[in-house]
Amino acid sequence: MEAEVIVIGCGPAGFSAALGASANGKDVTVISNPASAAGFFSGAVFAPGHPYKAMDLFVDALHDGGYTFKFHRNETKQILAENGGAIETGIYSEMSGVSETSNLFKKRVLFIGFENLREYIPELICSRFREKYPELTAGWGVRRIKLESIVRDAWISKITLARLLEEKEYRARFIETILRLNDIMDYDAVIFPAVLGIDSSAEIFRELQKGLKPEIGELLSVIPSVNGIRLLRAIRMALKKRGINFIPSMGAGFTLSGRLITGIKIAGDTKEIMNAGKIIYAPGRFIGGGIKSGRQFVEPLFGLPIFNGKRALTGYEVLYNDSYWDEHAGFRVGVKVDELLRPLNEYGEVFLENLFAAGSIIQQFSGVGMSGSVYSGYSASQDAA
Amino acid sequence: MDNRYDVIVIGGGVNGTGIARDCAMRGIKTLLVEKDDFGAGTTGASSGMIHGGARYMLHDVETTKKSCLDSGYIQKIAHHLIFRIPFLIPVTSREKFSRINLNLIDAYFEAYDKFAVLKGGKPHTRLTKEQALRIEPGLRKDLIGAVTMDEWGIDSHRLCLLNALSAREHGAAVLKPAEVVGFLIEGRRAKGIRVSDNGRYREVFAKLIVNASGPWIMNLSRGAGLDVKIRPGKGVHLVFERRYSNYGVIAKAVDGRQIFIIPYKNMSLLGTTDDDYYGDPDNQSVTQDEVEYLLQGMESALPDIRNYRIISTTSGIRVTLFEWGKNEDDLSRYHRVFDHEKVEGISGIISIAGGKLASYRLMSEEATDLACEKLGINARCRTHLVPLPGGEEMQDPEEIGKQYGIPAFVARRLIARYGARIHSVMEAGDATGRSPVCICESVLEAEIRYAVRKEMAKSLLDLSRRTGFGTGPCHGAQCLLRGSWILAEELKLSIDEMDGMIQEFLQKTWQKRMPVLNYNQAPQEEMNRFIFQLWRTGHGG
Repeated sequence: MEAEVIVIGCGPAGFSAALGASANGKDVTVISNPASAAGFFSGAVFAPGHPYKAMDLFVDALHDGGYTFKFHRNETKQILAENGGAIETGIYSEMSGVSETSNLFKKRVLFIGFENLREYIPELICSRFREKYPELTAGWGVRRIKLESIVRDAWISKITLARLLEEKEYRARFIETILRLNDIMDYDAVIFPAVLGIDSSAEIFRELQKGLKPEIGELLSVIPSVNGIRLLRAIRMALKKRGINFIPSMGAGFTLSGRLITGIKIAGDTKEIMNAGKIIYAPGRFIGGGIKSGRQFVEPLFGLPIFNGKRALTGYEVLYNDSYWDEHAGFRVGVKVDELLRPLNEYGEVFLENLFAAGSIIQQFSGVGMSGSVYSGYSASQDAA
Repeated sequence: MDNRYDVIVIGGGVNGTGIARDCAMRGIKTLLVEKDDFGAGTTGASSGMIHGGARYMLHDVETTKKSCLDSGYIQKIAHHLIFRIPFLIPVTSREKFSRINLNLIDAYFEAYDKFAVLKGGKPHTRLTKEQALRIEPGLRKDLIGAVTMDEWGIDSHRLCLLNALSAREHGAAVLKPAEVVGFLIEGRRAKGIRVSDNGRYREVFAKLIVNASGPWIMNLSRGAGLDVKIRPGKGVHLVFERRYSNYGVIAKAVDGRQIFIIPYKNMSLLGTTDDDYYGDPDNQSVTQDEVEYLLQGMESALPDIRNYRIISTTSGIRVTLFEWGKNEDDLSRYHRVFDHEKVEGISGIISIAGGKLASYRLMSEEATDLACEKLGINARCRTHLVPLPGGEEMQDPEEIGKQYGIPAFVARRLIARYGARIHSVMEAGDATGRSPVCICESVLEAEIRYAVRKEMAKSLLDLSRRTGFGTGPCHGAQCLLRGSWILAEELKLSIDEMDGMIQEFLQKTWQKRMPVLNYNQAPQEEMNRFIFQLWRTGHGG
């Protein structure tokens, strides 16, 4: 197997890199762990300074994959999240449209919670906002519903509930339960937590809206998030539609010739991708699982040194931080790169000439949100050209 | 609140609460002062065993005998808190003279059996290699045989709590959280204490002060010109995610000390270290060396121990009586009541230090006897006769389960916590009261409300000590919000105060699991932190 550009990792950064390289007419192969962590997406993209091309590519491609965004160019909105906070953004899930705070203030709004969904507390969201804006939120109400016809368990997670709603039978019962609420029509808007299905969320949304006079919407989610799973599905679908080769596995090693990587070995397979032209590495925040039992800390595939500030780190330094509320290592640390996004060694030199890093593995890009990942992925793909 | 008492007891550990209970039961007007929570210090960090002290039989036979006798009493007054821990001592062919060694251990426990009857323990048995491996398949395969013996475990946090509750029910006052900052001394007589209560200083007077402040005793006494010399030793346990062994297993650490892993509630505890400690008892942390020492030691009996998941650690300060020139392990576990009138000539105050969890009741009795003598009160100790709250009649989990519509295994857990008081716990919840909030430890909503209303819980940490809330493998990721929302409802807290409580809980529990985090746990940890940082700032991600 051969490829001009190999992208390792398929979150926002890897995906953008694949899109960028593919747009440049390259032959791209994406390798990504099928069980990757998808929990970090709330449903809104923090993108200061947008519009730029990388973000356009990203949003368009996701649209093809089935994830639709509402899009405000040159304008930001406050969107309400499950934790009772608000995110300022111009790009957000279409289903979260109603939960713009400007839409909700001074309206009659019903927040729906579920008895079995114990980690979601609609009263808490209301309390937070009521403490800050008592008059604006006077028309807000909360309803807790029992989902007896769907779940018997005392406790269900958001993700399990969303998965259940994928089943036709459960979905019908769910919609029936909601529509049976008597006074729901008196409200201007009805707000759910982000649990309304995964693949067929748009469908559920439409069906619910058809039976209801008030506008419906979802809140942005707190991790572990259904939005994250929806995003991952959409990414896979978009790759398929664009004909980009996808290998659901992990990089397990590489072959080297001088300072050039010539091939990538794939885990659980004897196959190797040969004649690798350029490699874009976007394994994400956990650095491909690089933190090893406290004593050792290296990036596991290429052995890249991990930095915190100017110094390379040992595992002990990464994990051991007395204060829970200081920024955790995963946010602070990462690889250092040159202006072409190529990782550096301890002496500040490029040592693998055709390897490019993207996304939150880059130390400087941690904490700037998804737009940083999208932008760095795209840039890496341009550098790799 | 009143500011004159007959006796003030300082310290809400097992000794302090035990003394307060004994005093109250003898009709003395008593105040118990605790700076944090019952069992938050040494007692809560102990192995939670009321063992007979087989370890001390060679050089301290008196401690062994007293421990055995008194653990028999504790079983009678708090049978619901107690659980049996059978122990297994494996002997492998790697040791020198292993065959002789096995015989020696056998003989040793032959002698211990004499004491073990006092506490209702079963006599020891000697197992062949095959028998031992059938019981404990994870043992090393070069085993030549094993010896078993029998001990008892107890929920040490609840033991303190029940003693305090019982004291209160017998008329004692309880002040918590409130820290004693100094003594009021007039001439050669202690008249009372200065206490910091909710940020305000107060003076409380008493005819007699009993100082049972454990690791803090030296600092506190020094302020009053008293000399209570102890030799503080730090003891560390590792907490495993689940019960990894059927029996408690004893192994030898690199320095020849005995360490053990015991099934404890639904977890396993691996302990313990014993090192002289000179630091601040308020600020202990477990080091990687201590973790390594314990794991390496236990590897000699259970070779796969490193593959098991560790979720937390405990660290506490043993209060042993001062002796010069002995190893930590050889120090006597005997206790002493210090009569300061006789030594320093300052009356109105006595101190208690040393001892073991197993003999707490006896120590409390001795201290209270002395207090009665000083106050001229003639009343007899009844703490070994009257059950602790909930220890009255046995409950049947099947029946309780049926009665309240909960699974029998949840009922069993509840009975282990509340004993005969389970009925008033179940009444504390409304319609959703019987659904679990913390799934790892199966803590019901009703328990949280009950802990606030009846058990003096004021924070998430208090709640976790009383019920195990948030101490399971998810560290509160799933239950913390719901739990603190219920707590906030009961305590009438604002959202900000609730956030503060969550932060405090996470910070404290983080310090306990930080030393044992490994590479698979780091992402989960980060995920949790991310969630709660979002909650804290009120911003979405």
